[in-house]
Amino acid sequence: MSWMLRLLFLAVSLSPAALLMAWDADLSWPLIEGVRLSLTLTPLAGFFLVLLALVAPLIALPMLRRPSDVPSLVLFVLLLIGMQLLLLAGDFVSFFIGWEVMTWSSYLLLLRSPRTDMVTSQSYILFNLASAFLLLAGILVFYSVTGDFLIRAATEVSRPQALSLVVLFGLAFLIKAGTLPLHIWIPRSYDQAPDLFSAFLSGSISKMGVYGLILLLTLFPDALTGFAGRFLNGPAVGYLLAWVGVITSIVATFKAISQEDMKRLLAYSSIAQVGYITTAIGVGSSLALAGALYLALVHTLVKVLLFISVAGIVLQTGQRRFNDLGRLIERMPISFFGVLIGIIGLAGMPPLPGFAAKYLVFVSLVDARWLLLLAAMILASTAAFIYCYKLVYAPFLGHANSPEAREAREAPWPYLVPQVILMGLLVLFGLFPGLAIDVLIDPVLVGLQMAPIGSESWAKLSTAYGGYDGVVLMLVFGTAFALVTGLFLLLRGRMRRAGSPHDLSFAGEVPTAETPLHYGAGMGRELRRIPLVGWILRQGTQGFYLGLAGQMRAAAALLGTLYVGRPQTWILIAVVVFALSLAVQAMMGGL
Amino acid sequence: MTLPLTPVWFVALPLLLAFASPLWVRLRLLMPLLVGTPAALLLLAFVLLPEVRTAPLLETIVIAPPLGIHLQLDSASWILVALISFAGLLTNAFIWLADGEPYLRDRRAFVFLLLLIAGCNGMVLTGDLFNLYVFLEIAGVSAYALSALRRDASALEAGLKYLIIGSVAAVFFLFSVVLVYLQTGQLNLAAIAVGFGEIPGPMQILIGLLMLVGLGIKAELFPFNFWVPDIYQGSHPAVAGLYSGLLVKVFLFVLFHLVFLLLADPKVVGIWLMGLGAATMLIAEVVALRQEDLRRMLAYSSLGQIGLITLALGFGVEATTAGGLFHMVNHTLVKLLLFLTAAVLLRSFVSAQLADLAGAGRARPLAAALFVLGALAVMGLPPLSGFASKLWILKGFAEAGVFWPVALILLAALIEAGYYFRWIKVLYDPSVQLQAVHPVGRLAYAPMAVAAGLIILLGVAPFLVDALFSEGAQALLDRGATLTAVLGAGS
Repeated sequence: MSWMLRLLFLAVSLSPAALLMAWDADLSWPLIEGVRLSLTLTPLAGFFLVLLALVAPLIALPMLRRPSDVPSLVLFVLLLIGMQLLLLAGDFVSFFIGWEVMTWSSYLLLLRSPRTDMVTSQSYILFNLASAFLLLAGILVFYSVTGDFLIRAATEVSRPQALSLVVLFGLAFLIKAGTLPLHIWIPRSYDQAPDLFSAFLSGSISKMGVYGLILLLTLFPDALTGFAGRFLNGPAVGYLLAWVGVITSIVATFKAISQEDMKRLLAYSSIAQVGYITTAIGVGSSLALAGALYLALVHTLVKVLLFISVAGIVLQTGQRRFNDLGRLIERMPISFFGVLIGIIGLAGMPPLPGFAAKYLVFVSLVDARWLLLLAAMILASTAAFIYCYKLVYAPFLGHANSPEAREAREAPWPYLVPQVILMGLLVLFGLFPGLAIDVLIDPVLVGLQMAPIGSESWAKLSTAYGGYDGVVLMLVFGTAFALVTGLFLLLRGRMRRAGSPHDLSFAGEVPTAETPLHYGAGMGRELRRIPLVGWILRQGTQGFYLGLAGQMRAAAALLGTLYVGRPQTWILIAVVVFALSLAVQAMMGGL
Repeated sequence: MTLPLTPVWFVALPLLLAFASPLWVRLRLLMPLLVGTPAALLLLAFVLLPEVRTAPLLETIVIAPPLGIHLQLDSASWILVALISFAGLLTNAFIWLADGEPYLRDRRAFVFLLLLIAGCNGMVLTGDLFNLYVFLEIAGVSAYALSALRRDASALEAGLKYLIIGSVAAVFFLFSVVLVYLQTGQLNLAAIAVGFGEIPGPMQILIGLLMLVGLGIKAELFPFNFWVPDIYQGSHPAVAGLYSGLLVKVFLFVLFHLVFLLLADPKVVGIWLMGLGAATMLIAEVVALRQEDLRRMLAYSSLGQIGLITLALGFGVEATTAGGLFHMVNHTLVKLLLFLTAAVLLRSFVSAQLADLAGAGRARPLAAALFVLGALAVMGLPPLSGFASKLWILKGFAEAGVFWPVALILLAALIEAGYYFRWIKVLYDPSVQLQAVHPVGRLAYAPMAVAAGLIILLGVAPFLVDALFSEGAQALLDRGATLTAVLGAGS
């Protein structure tokens, strides 16, 4: 492929950024009679456009590595166009067009991976189309209520109409976001998608479900409280949504811990993170929405960083299972730091901005007095430490468990540049937690007519329930890190190093070559023996959906027997139907 | 002598050229004329368009009063006539350019293809019930013959089956024509429409049922469409594309034309037709899930779309009718594209079975890409043309506050996605290295590219044509205006 085309591709990947800079007017043109498309940029959409503008070029860069796959590039461009249309939509028709273009172009991109199997591709497209068609049904109900397709608060909605709107839109967006029990398409597709595209799926496309959920709140002025009143200090309907989110995160976290494959682990972790965001949206207060947006920002940065690092490892070693990796810290140091920074952000530990985001959500739960939810969420986010640790330990530390891992080299520069940029951004937002609030989140809250969070200075995150200073925190952690690292390096020379993994033996057992010596090996198996956790891990919705598919095929077989190949039967049926309808008419009307 | 540009040419030109075929063989003009005739008709349609949009064109050729041939070209039938010419043009161009099966390129095929066009045009244009029957038989007989052109068992079987079921349909229809004539003494549609209300109720029902069974078999509605997959599978895919893209649309149009013209209050019949449409759509889409042959799968998918169009037209509101007419056009474009793709794949790999086409995407990338485009359009995914028409239909239902068809249409689209995406996945199966057996010339892709281009164009800019379909819907629904136009203001 020529340089011109590659440059063009990069330019297109920068288009969300350009759009963000240059957009200043509204566009509108007719589609068919009575349907006008209109494009406008709301603050809420602007926030998600910022996320897209950050991510798109960072993923486009490694995609350009030779030998490049031209259809993938074309599809990626279509996908970007669809997502920008979706975000700029001022009416539901353009929103739906963008949504659908995103759906089918991402499906075709998924097919570019040689690992995608039939079940994965079918579940991906069917779940996403079900989401799209639910959305379309909701749009049509909305249209019949308001008389046009503009996205705006619907006043004068009767209760059943509002209920059907909330159910249709809510289900559509929850499928896209991937909450339980509608998540089943996510682990398979994130796992089997082309490695770089997984980053985009998790980082950007899943955020569109989040965008939709927040948009749904804006459709009804008193969205959550309007239905069933308040529960404790928050909206009662939101309480339900919040539990959906929290249960999603708990289950997905334990599933993530038990995974043996890097990409599958990240996929479940992604489900868990979107679960937190769903919880925050359920709370619905200004603090909670700030937390949701902050989480969305951090999750986008972290997941893109982690997926690109993992893509680099897979590219260099060809392995994606933990048991086949190890000891890459010396061979792939930059990727190591990418994953390290990534998991600190993912786990929501200070000093990185994941902490600020989770802090806001926790505070909003306290504010709503939903303490049981708070406890459940803390359980999930603590358990998340285990898989985070596994993610950095298993590939990078310990012994190299495959020849590829022993000979791997650092990922090529198109993979490293995005990682370095993302690490820089994470550190930046960690140093200045107020920056994201001030520049990105408060304008959205103001646009939604909610109280802004505000911050005294960029370094500080402050809420009514207290806050912290990012610079100080970073200095403390940085000093501690430097001290520990320095001590380790000083003492390192005195440590004895094992010559080979097989030197190790204990209690009379000498491991053979087949014994998995990996620290994380069998971690999931042991997890299943814990009473409650084991029960959770054994449950699954796959059986239900496979059963549904089986029923459909059985119905197809049954109805297919009608279409026999004998003309006499066709004529017989026609005559019988004719005679029967005549007889029925005769009985009813007295022929 | 100047030749006046009148609607008569839509029937006369293909008839004349078909019967003079020995001459064209001698002059080696067979293939150019095969493509040129529909092209000329399409041109004629566009020349007549401004006139049609101001007032319907009426043409009466009196044989001996009251016997005569009435032709009526209004905004609704213009859409169909243009569609017939365009579909004929694309298919014939494919037959010429693909340089494939010799049995499609000889004199007999030439005659039948042109007769099919003439018959379809006649059915759409005629304002006379008996002529309608005659044209129905012309189109029918040429369709049976086209099925059986290939000299092998499956094609002959398809042709014979088609002949049997088609004749039964024609007999049902003929009975209804006879009864109408006995009751009203008229054969002119407008005159019958005036007198139809005075026929006793039970007789109305009998006539209606006879017509429904006759046209229902031809238009492939649910309890009468069991013959469809066999015929589509046995015929050459390009010919099957004509059945699905052109012939069925014409019969559907005739059915609804009669319903809206003859009945002063089509509401009740409309609801029955909507029920039939919904059943056709859902059952066909479900059955298609298990099809392993590309042609059979496309046949069921075609039935599903026919059901959707019936559902939309049966509702009888301007928005759904306009959307339904638009969907007819879109579905014709899409099904032509898909069936021509099937023809290319069938020739390349000798088989149209799912298992034999695994990995065809790399051996025939262009054909597979066009298949994907067609599949996306048939499911109504934006920004392709199927979306605009489906949105129009759904919007019409939503405006009226009727949501059960919306739910069924969306459910059917989801089931449809279940099998189309299965085929797409198999076409791009990475684990199989498939080699094409027979070459396919580049030129064969030209008609498909035209159809694909139109699908994209109409999807991105449907506002170019939406006025045509609104006017068409008004013309189809406005019974009074038609009657006044034909019988004069006094009637």
